[in-house]
Parts: sequence; C-alpha cells; structure tokens
Amino acid sequence: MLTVPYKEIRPQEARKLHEQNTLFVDVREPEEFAQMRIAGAQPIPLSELAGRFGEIPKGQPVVLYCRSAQAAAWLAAKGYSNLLNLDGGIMAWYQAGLAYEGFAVGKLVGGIQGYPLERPAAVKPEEVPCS
Amino acid sequence: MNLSVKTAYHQLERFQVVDVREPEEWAEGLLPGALRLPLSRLEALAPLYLERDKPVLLYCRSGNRSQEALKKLQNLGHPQVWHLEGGLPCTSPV
Repeated sequence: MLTVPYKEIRPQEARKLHEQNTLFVDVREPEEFAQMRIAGAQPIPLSELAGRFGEIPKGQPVVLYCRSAQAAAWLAAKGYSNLLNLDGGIMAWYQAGLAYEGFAVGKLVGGIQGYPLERPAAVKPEEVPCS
Repeated sequence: MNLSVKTAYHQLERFQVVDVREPEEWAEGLLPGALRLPLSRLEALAPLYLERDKPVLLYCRSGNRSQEALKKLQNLGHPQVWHLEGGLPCTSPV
C-alpha cells in the first residue's frame, strides 16, 4: 500500500493550527487570493510552485489550501514530510464560519432543483416590504 | 468563487436569503425564510433590511437578476454576497 504523502484536515483542525501560527500556503492565482484569503497565508500560485517551493521551509507543518492536493503531492515528492491539506479549501473554511480577509462573493452552484420551496400560502402580504 | 448549493442549503439560516423577483412571481414559490426585495427597488430597500455582517444569498428565476443584484449590493459595500446560479426551478412548489 502506498503511503499518503500528506494528511487531509478539516477546517476546525486547520483553525487550531492557524492559532498556533502554522504556515498556510494559498496555491490559487493572485486575483483569487486578492479577493479572499485566510489571514497570514502565503500566496504561492500553483503555476509558480516549481520555481518558488524553496520559500516553504522543510521540517515544519505546512497547511495547503485550494486546489492543493496536486501541490501537496508535488511537494511530498520534493521531500516535504509534514504537509496538511485543508479539505474543501477556503470555501470549507468559510462555511465553517471561520475568519478570513477580503470579500466573500460568488455564486451557489449545483442547482436548487429538488429542494423544497415555501408554498405560496406562506407569502404573507404583511411581510411584503413594499406597498 | 463557488459554493455548492448542497452544502449551503442546510445552512440557509446563516444567510440573509433575498428573493429579487417582482411581486407577481412570488406565488411560484420562495426559498425558506426569503426576504422579498425586488430588483427594481433593491438599492432603496437593502439598507433597511439587510445587515452587513451576515452573508446575503440572492436568487431570482434564472440567475440573471440575482447576478445584477449582486453587483448592486457589492457597490453598496456588502462584503459577503452570493447568488444562486441558474435561479429557481420552473416547477411548481409542493
């Protein structure tokens, strides 16, 4: 059986590491990082990782997030041994209600088909905010 | 950025859910707990009804007006604004 080169962690575990000042590396592209990020995270876009991975110290825990499974596997092959991958990325972090910097703006995808709607009877005229 | 409906639906209480359709469309069904702030009056109504520190989830019939509404709320300085891609299904409510 192959050894997993990195460990998946949930947002709450990542939060504890964040509180302990563990290095967080955001491998998304700069415009995504500019819009929203985890405080203190170091931006190293996936596209630049091959040239910049030396900025990441070896021998200490590193949390990678967003499209980071690929980055984690690549770094593991370069000899990094204490890699943690935030499962679900910054969206899981956001959904868990954890603090972030920037703007949380975007779309809900996947369609709402099949989810219950309120019946029209539930539309009470007195709640209508306009006359 | 993209959030999945599957995850968000079970956390709708975290959002200020806003229906930006016009009144004649409300009978088609609403998302649970939705405020009704028609796009045509959104800029006037948003400051009265929406808190800035809670995420806003906008929806309409197809996703076009909610996208427009998203831009309006961003311009009003809302830091957390999401819209429902594809809008509501055309099927009748149960």
